[in-house]
Amino acid sequence: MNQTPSSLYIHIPFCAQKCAYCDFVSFAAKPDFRMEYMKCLTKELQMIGTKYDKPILKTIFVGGGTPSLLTVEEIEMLGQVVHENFDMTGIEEFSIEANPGTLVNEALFKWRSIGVNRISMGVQSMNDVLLKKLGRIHTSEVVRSSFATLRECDFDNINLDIMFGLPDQTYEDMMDTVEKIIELGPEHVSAYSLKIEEGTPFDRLVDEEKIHLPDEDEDRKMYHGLVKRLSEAGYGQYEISNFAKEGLPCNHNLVYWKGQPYFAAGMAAHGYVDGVRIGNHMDFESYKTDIQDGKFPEATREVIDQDDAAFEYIMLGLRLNEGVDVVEYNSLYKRDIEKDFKSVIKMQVESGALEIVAGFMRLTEYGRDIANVVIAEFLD
Amino acid sequence: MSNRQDKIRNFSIIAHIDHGKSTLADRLIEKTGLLTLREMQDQIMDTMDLERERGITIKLNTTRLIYTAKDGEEYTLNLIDTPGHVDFTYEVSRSLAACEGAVLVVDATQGVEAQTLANVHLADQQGLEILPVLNKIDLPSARPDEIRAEIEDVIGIVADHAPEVSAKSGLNIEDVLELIVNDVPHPTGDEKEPLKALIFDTVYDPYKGIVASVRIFDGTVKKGDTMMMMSTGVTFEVVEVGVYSPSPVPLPMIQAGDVGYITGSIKDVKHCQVGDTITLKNNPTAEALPGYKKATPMVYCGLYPAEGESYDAIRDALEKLQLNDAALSFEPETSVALGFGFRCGFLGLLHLEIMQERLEREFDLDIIATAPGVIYRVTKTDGEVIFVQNPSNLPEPTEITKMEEPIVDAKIYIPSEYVGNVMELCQQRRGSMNHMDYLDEKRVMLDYQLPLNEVIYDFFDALKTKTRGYGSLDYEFNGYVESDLVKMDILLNKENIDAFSMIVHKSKAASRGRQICDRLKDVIPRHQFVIPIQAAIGNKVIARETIKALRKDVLAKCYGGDISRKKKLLNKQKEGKKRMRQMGNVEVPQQAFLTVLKFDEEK
Repeated sequence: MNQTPSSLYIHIPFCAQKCAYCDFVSFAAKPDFRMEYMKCLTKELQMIGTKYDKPILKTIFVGGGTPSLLTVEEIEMLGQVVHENFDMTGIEEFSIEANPGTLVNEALFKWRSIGVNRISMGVQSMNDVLLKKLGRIHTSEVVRSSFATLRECDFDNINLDIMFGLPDQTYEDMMDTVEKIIELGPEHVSAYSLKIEEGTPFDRLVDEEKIHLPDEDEDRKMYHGLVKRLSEAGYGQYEISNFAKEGLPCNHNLVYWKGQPYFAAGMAAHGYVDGVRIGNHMDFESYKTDIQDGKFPEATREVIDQDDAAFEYIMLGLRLNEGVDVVEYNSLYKRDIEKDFKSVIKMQVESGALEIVAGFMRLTEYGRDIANVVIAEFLD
Repeated sequence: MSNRQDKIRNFSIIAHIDHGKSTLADRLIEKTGLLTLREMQDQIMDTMDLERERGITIKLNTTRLIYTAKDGEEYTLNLIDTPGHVDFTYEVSRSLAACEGAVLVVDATQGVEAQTLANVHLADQQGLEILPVLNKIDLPSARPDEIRAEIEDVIGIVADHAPEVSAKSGLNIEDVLELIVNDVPHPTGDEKEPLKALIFDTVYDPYKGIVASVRIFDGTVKKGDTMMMMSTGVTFEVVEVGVYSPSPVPLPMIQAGDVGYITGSIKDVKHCQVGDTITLKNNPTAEALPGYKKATPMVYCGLYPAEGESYDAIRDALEKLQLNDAALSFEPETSVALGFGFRCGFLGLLHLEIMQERLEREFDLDIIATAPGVIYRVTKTDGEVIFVQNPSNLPEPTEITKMEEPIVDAKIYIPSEYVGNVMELCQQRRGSMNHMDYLDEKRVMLDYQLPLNEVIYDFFDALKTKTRGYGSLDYEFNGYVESDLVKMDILLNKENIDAFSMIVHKSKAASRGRQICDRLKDVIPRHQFVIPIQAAIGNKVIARETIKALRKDVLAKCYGGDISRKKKLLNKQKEGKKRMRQMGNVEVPQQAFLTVLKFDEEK
């Protein structure tokens, strides 16, 4: 994809404290450091804007860490550089991630003023005991009040993140959280199965057998339970872990799943520009040094050729419930998917994991459970 | 009769493993000035890496030493190195037939052990003069007088003048050289008689073809002669003759009493057989030399190309290995599960393992080996008696009148405190005791009759474990015995995988079946359907495990930063699959075969 990206991801790596399961680049940061970081980020955004001649943006996503921790001053800085260096006239979706309990009205209004029209808030669970175990900084009550605050500040496009398969979590626990979420009435819900990442406190606890995780069958029961309940409540599943009210998916994320390009700014941010997947430096020193030298802070680069892109199209496309548009795939990559992968498709259709309906190749409910296996079959 | 032969001594060094045979050989070479210390790598005679790794000699190597003795005379000492493992008694006997004497090295801290005796027996059979030498005399735990007594009592040879040496430090090495000069009889052939040369080893050289290591008993041979192999009558022109010093040194001729080599652009190993006699076409000798004991393979396994590996490459490699190893036998066979491969015969499990490693390392081949097995003698209902190596060739039970399995006479040497443990082990392996001897207050020799198929897997390892490493073993084929044997099959997803079939004793079938099913369950990955693993005898299932269907394999989050990492993981997953073998609709990793092959002691 060599078109100029119309999506931008910005990374704010600050957090009040680290959650037990988190393996993102995030940490508690002192004000001096934050200012330094914001200055570098500003410069980087300028560099992008300059290189691509004030590109038109449709979606922006500010992730972290906890972007909602930014001060009014910092938000102002960010807003200014974005508006100065990018064409914001056609902006459709400008999201930020927030943590319950970190919301400050002045900051929220500031976000609104620079164009933010969507908030993604991490809830994980409405069970206070569980929240503590996870190392979250809030209770369920705080979630409610934060949600109310967001509505008060006129945010009419809110996503709430929940997790299932948590230690000592029961099916009933989880469904209870789902009910409470539905009660709050966000526009979008993301529900993730807990993954124990190497090097996290949870990883150690699992090794030491101090925490008990639900087994596979329980995990799947929870997943299918919440998919069904959310669907009944009007949140149609459109991606493996994402559910939205009619017409309100996260457009920025859709860019990822459709294999489209996007800019990246900030430490540890990832971009996909001019056919190259870029990973920015994970440590501040390297990030800062490159930017000060006027260089893009790239730590890793991966050139995506036609074959890579073709596979990614399937890998990411199958994550969406609608699946992969066969005609579009064939025309984009000059291939014939039903011929090239004849036996794979036959086998997976027979096994009940895959189906081709109305020109779309997609995973079934069962297929979503073993998506990795099915997707791997499409590797050359 | 010339007095040239008076100055020649042809000898071997024999010993139990690690008693210092190779180190002594190195010292002798060093002492006679052939190589400087710096030129010598440790254990120079063990040239192959594999051998060095395992601390054992596999290939034979000979070398000529020139030694000026205390009497002022110059002697030619021909040293022939020999392997020291119980599987290779055949190779030992070959080199011994080329000698007149054998230096018996005994570790002064360990005493007489299994292969000490086995080697002495072989040397005796060849009528050699056996000269004991006590090694490792420098160690504080050395007890020379006791060991001397042991040698006299157990072996029955006089040892009071046995030199006490340290091969490691070089102490008293001249005494060994003097011993050889004084006590090894010199050869007494006649160089004017027709040529009589014994082939005791062959080596394949890419330029010279097959090189025959020979001991000349009578006659003379030189470049340009036409030599004849007595067993086949095939003739070759002699291209080169010489001696090993230790590298080959061409000479104008070699004669009666000498040990050396002959090359004749021989390409086919069948034309240069170990044990054969070489003579001259124009003046052939009347009688060939008595042949060696023909190497009989005792353990078999199937060797197959792994996924993507070339069948021809394996065949070529086996042919090359066979050039240097007459004990290796192979013939083509097929398996429903594994396709086209070979059934290979080995002297024992060590031989098998070493061959497999050589194929993998030296020839860079990806091979699958089926479980090793022995040859069974089957009497059919129609009276026919057949030998079965491949379990898949076993006739239907209804066609079998009786089945017999090979048994061995095993001599097990252990410290006395482990007698109970070891007797229990032998019992578990369906052994029956012949007798038990106390070698001294601390050591015992157990003589057991054991089925060979109970010995070839991991008996040696179990023995070592049960005796904290002090046990040693020597065994010899001792005929066939009728036994209650059955063919056990392994079914994956209801399909019989012939490569996993084994012939086992009825009493062992259930436990072995359970073990295999258990192991396969750990090694075969989950599929999108349930996989039953079954061990069966005929239609009767005797053990079963089940691999659950894959329930979950999905990445919850896949956003911008996750994409590259995810692709890498999927690629890795796919790579892993490439090393799988499709059996029916079950993908089986290659290590599954090893799993079935290697057995640990039952828990």
